Amino acid sequence: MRRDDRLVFEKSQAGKRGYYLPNEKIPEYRLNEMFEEDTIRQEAAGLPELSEVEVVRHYTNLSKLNHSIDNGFYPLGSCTMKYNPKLNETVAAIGGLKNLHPYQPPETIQGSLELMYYLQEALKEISGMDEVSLQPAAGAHGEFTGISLIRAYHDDRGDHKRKKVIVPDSAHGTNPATAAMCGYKVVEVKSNQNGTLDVQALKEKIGDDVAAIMLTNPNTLGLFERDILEIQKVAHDNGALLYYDGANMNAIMGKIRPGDMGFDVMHFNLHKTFSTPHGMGGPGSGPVGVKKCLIPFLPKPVIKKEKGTYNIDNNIPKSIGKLRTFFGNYNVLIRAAAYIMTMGGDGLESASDYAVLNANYLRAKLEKIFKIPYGTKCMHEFVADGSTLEEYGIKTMDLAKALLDYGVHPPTVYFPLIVHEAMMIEPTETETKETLDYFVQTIGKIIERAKQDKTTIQHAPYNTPVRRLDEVKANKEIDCNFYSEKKK
Amino acid sequence: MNQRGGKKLGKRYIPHTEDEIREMLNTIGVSNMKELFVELPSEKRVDCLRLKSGMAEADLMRKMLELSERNTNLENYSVFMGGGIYKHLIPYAIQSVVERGEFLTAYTPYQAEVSQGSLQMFYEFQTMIAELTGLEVANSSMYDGGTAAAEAMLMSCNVKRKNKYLVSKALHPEYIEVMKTYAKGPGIEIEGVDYDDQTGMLDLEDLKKKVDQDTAGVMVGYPNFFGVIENISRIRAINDKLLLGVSVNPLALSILEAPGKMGADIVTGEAQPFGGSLYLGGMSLGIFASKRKYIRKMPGRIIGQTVDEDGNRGFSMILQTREQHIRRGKATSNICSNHAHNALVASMYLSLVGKTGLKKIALNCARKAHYLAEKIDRMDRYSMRFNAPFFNEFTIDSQFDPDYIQEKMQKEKIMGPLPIGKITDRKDMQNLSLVAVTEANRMEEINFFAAKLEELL
Repeated sequence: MRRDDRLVFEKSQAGKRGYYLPNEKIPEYRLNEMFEEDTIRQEAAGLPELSEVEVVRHYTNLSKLNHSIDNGFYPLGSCTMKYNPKLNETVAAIGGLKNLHPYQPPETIQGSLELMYYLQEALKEISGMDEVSLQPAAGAHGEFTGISLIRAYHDDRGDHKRKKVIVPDSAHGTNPATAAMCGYKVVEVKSNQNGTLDVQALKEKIGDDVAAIMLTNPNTLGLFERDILEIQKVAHDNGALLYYDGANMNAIMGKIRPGDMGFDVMHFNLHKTFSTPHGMGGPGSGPVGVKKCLIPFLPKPVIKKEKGTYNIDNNIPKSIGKLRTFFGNYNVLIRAAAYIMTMGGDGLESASDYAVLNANYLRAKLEKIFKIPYGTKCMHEFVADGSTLEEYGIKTMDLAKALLDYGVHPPTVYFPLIVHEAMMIEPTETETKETLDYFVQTIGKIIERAKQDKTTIQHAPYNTPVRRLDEVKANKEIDCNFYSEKKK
Repeated sequence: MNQRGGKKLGKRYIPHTEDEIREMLNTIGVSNMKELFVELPSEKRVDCLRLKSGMAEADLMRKMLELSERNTNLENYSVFMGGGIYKHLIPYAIQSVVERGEFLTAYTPYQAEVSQGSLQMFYEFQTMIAELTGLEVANSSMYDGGTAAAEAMLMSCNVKRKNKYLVSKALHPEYIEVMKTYAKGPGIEIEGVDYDDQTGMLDLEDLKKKVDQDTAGVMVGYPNFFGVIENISRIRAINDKLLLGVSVNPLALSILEAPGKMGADIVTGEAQPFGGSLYLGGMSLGIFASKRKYIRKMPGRIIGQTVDEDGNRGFSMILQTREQHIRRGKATSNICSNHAHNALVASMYLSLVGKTGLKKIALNCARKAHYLAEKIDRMDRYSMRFNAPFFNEFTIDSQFDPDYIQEKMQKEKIMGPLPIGKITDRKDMQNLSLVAVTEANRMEEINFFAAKLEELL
């Protein structure tokens, strides 16, 4: 039976309802008694009309069309798709942690403020930074915060000539996007033949017009930037600050800390390193850690502890301001705090140990199939060059699509841009050896099939809810609203 | 010396057996894990993290329950506190469906073939938001109402290639602060537009005065922070070139005319009222809709309908060339992770309550609010601060310190109203409180609250 692919609007039938308000007698003010005539809605919004069981089935059936960590392997590089403990969902659902209004007086939310304060302190210890703000709503929002802090720092010193931010060519897309959003000119520095930042090239580009260097370490190739201590010296000698993109933090917990490596500001991705669920793309959370020199500029509010009482401090004269409303993604913060408490310091360190073990194991296995252009070992992830596949008439994208038929989510593909036909593979620590072996065997099987008949692979997948989509049509004949297309 | 000494490493959520570890190390060609970390400069290594040892789940749960008991849980409170986040009734069918792992533990739908659940849901969500706002296109979510308003400002300045932006002084104060933070990078000059002292509505004369050739657009609240309903058509009539941004409570749009129908170019807002739990305002959901002609300048993810190789209906991300992972330094915004899962909650909420249900809920809120407002306005020492129409929230002026009201109310298991002076530093607002009413407030609670307010006399 073909699945029912009707939209919720197409299942709608006038007169159906899936929810009922309590029965009570309320004063019957008419709309025109309450509102100006011309502000009263004329035509009802086209929301669906369904019974409760139909709504539940609609969304349950939609869920079945998704691949997720709970379904199977998800080795998406730089995304750290580790197991998201169910325990943390139960914790976040505790009524006394959930049913709290953001403007409740601080004395009525002491438990939550303590929880957030705990998380701030734990992140400081993990990162070696001097202070942490939990405000940013996502990694990119954390980057925006960090670069805004850097600008405030330079401005405060009266140093207005710094107009550039340096990023390596292997950086995440959010890095240059953030720098541009903060009004900086983005300058790219090439990687060297080892896949790490070319310090010589950096020295040529650095100067008193550079506000910051944004790095992730290990970098997106999964390699540790060995020259980090020299890089930090080059940055600081020239008055620039060093930004740490925490996307790849899962490799180094309990091993080395960004603060100790000389980074001045960083963001954490709680939805990566600290196991909070990605939820189809969010909400995440991107707390920012800073060194002392940036503390005066932190976003509002800051949670403080004074004589055993937790306070919300909005009086920060040099603050960069507010980044979003209220306290950040507090529902995500609860889960991350629960994770850190469950793991403990030694548990976090072993998470990094096994993340690196799993990545190196896969690397060693896949090295027999693909060229892995950089390094001989890796940290938590590595990047394979898929051009070997061209021998069999297929590309990285074909392999990625074929993997879907085997219940495996493909790696991040065609990123970083500096590797041809790139496949960026991050298995994470929570995967079993059995899963890793299955992944390697499956790739082998797909290549064998390609050798027999490349067209079957070029048109994969076959067993997924839909097959390859016509993206040209999607972008040319834009249809992103059910009704406006019907009205046309 | 490693402070861990001989202590065994914690292994929570790590599935490896000792045999497997040995075999894996062998395959890699190292004799122990330490060899995998030799690239790290030894002089900067840490021995261990000074964090407590891991907790068993029973202990963790006990600890978290202890913390929760030090909070005032509003579940059994009458809540008259709003200011952007409201306690509404949440249909129970939502929770068990949205916490399915297939929704919760999926990533951004980069591989469309195995993400059709997310993608179709986003497409439906976009349609619902477009319908409510009266605009043609909506994205699949932003972080919250504040950042959505800030992104609307960036987009307006980008579309118009101008760098001055006007903001109603009656917009949510936190939204204005967020906009100011976002304005610094591109060097946008933000100017406030006054509101009328009697009505609380935007001062149209002041708007006229403040528009000049550098002005890209203006942002107003609908309802605004004081609960007052702006007349969007009249604002539009002042100037037809400005990009008119309207920041909404989307629940109100089931009974109030859609801003898009009254000339708004961009509509943003906070959709927590659509099934979102309070969570200190953390379960926020920014919405963002715009006229079709600006779609290429919009921030965030947009999902489109297409067909697959077999000609079957399917959905995928579109216009990705606007986004950071493709466009890098030239992207329309740096947003990547958004509030996708909260958009699922809102979609399911809107599907359950449906076309007529949403209107009933909004009407319930508005009627109860008007009933309470009339009651309060009749009391000697309270008065309505503004005389323009409102939706479910209104501002009262009291002869008491609003903190005193709040404190007394807490003793009666009532949270609110919100002392406005707390979130603005304006001296003339120190006696103002914002009263929010929703369908979660039963009539007897409303009467009880009114009686207690009167008792304060």
